[in-house]
Amino acid sequence: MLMTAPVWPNSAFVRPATPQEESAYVNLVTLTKAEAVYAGSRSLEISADVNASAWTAHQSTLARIRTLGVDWDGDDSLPPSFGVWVRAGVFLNVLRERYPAVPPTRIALSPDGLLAFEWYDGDLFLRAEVGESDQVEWMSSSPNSPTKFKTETVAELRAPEQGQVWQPAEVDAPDYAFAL
Amino acid sequence: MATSRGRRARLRLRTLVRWPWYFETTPVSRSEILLRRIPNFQNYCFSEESTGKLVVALDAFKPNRSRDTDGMSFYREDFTTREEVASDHPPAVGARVARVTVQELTALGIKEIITDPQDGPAGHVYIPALRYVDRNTLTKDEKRERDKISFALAQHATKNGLWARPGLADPVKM
Repeated sequence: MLMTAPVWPNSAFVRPATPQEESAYVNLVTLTKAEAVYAGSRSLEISADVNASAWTAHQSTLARIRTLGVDWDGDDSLPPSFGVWVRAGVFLNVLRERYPAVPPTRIALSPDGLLAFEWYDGDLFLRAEVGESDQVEWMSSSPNSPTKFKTETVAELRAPEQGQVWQPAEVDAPDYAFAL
Repeated sequence: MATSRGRRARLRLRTLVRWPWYFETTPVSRSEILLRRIPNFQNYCFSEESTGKLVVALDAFKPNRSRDTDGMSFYREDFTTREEVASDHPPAVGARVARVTVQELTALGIKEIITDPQDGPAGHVYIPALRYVDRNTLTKDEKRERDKISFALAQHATKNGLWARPGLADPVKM
């Protein structure tokens, strides 16, 4: 499962796993410090490699998206503005810094030029949409539960300077980690 | 032959009883199925890694700024075929066709489906509640409501299955 609890942690934490949960936990849910907990686990090493390539692939996808023009899908859709693209890059780095073991499943581009990061895991769905402001719109859906939304202001997305685009900012308090 | 009532429905077992009086302008009934063309991009539909099953993305059901200014466009399956819908102004990468039932739409609170005969595939309809609007002009709640509906439609379309012309390549990367 992408999220094991209905509430996201407000800060980095080490989640103690029961023996029954450990396997699934290592493979699927590793928020923040799970690497330290399971250091030496072969499955985790493999998982870390997979995750690293996933993050790299997402950066490549973002780079490709920058090359898109109007009508990129043949349906007259808009490409992201430079500002949206920059903020998405910064936010991707923020996510990687904080949740290295949980790369997004995919990057999505809206027909109106907004960029979103999406996590799919079975019936669970999580989406973070980056637009023209420093706010990120989170959306989550799970079976038997109404779709939830949360808007979050991410300081790192505020008027980033061009030279800092790909530099992950130092963050003391992960204020983007929130309860959905 | 086209009339002021639009074109007649396709003659099928499903439409047989009312076929003589069943035209494009006939109001949409709850038992109908609507079709929507989706560009063959991974942005709109992608293979689930574990199962290989095609998943329709939320963005496939966001209104298009050119086509959906009056409302989100669909075609009635009683009047046209998936082949015709896929062939209507297809993007260079090709298109797939998603199916959504009217019952699924009404369950999402969508009550108004306008019949709108046009050139091209028969049975064009649009949903005014899902017309294209600059997102910057929407309130937060309106944006969320729209995203909720787009996601639900994508889920239904995934469950109902995507049609593709035989030989169509896998969805193309952006």
